[in-house]
Amino acid sequence: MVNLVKMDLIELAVNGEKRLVMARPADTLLHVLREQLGLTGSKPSCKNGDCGACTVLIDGQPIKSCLMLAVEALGHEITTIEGLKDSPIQRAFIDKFAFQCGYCTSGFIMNCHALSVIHPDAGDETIREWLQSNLCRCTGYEEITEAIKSVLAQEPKENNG
Amino acid sequence: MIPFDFAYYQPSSLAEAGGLFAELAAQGKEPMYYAGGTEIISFSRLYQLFPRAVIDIKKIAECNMLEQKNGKLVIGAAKTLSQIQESNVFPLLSWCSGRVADHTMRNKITLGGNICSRIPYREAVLALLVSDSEIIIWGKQGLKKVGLNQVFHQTLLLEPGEIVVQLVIDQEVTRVPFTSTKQTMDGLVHYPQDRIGYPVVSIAALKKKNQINFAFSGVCSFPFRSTEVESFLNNPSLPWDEKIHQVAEKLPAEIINDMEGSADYREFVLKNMLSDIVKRLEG
Ligand SMILES: Cc1cc2nc3c(=O)[nH]c(=O)nc-3n(C[C@H](O)[C@H](O)[C@H](O)COP(=O)(O)OP(=O)(O)OC[C@H]3O[C@@H](n4cnc5c(N)ncnc54)[C@H](O)[C@@H]3O)c2cc1C
Ligand code: FES
Ligand code: FES
Repeated sequence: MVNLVKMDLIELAVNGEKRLVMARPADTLLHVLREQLGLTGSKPSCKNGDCGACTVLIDGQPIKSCLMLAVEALGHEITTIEGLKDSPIQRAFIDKFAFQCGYCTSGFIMNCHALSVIHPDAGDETIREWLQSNLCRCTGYEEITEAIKSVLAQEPKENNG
Repeated sequence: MIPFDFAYYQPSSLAEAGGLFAELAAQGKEPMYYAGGTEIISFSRLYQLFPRAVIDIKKIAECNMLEQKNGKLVIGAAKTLSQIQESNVFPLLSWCSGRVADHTMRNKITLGGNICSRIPYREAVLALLVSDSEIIIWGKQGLKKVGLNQVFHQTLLLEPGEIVVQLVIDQEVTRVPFTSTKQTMDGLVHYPQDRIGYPVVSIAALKKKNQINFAFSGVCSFPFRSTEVESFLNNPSLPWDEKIHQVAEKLPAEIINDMEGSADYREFVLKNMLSDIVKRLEG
């Protein structure tokens, strides 16, 4: 049984490394990543689950880190934008001009990266459903859709259904 | 950032969770069960909730089941809406769950959390109400199984310390004709990829033995399935147009009137959606 009754040291698995952090039970994962670990790629914005700027991967699934407690991440693999290096989706965002101010970009990239891994054969409907989790105030979303589609087009396909 | 402290517990059994709840409540900690935690975190951040302790139920095996056995479908309360949607074991529930929030949020929001939520919409409940689902609740006396329609009146009637463990659905019901529609401020939502947002009106309907069961969200300040509305709409001696025209008089409470939709607009949408649903189910 994991109990955290007051501020204490906990060990998180972040981007393939074990990291010790001092966390309050009520600290969100977003707060701990940014303020304790200096991983400021995950962005705070609405802090209400609406915008997706804070999206990270938990065991490969996109999760909004503003609505997850750090202590809930114990025993799970956390991936932040700092953990992605030269991934196809990062390159595609540059090639397709899929950002302007860039504030939403890390959240979009984490979500798109997960989509390309989990559903390499995703069709338009799945892409649309997943992309609705993130908001961008600068682009018209077209470039972001093009970026994810260009990555999916490169994936080896087992099932084109 | 949550501006106050609480203690976090992660028990691995129902008895342990219930014991902790009683102990913490006796200490004045106002404990809350914690599932996806999305509502607890967002309300706590705004100082609209002040638990001094949260009890995470995600590691309790019974709350994590998803199985089909002896003609029944059993879904643990800690299953996320994404897990339910993807398993597609009950297509109407997939539809209703698949339109809650957005895809990433549904990776965290749980079925139990949606049913016990304090927000007025609770859209996953609609599928469970129309399908006459049963709910398994753990309390001081152990486990009990009751019809959801018996214990869901505007809100789920739970005693302090009770835990929603599972929902049980007759598998026959998962195969009967159904339909479901949601309209948000931005337009109609048929599929999860259409639009996201809280509903102006959301309806789930299921046809069972020549009778259509209806459940509604976004119309009144709580989701409901009403015997009065349902027997009126299923009255064979009146034509559908007339029944739909008069349906507002039968509702269990006033229609919501707020910035997301005036009462008049919601009534207009309700009637249009009902006409559409009847066309789809009655041919
Ligand atoms: C961005 C966003 C968009 C949303 N959009 C929609 C929408 O379109 N439609 C809609 O219907 N809802 C929507 N919601 C609301 C959401 O469905 C509810 O807030 C839901 O409660 C969240 O589930 P959770 O598992 O995170 O709950 P939690 O925060 O864990 O818990 C919520 C409440 O339920 C209680 N609880 C949870 N599980 C149990 C259990 N097993 N037994 C007893 N009590 C329990 C908790 O004590 C608490 O009171 C949205 C929420 C967010 C954050
Ligand atoms: S900051 Fe987390 S969703 Fe907006
Ligand atoms: S690029 Fe500026 S918010 Fe998306």
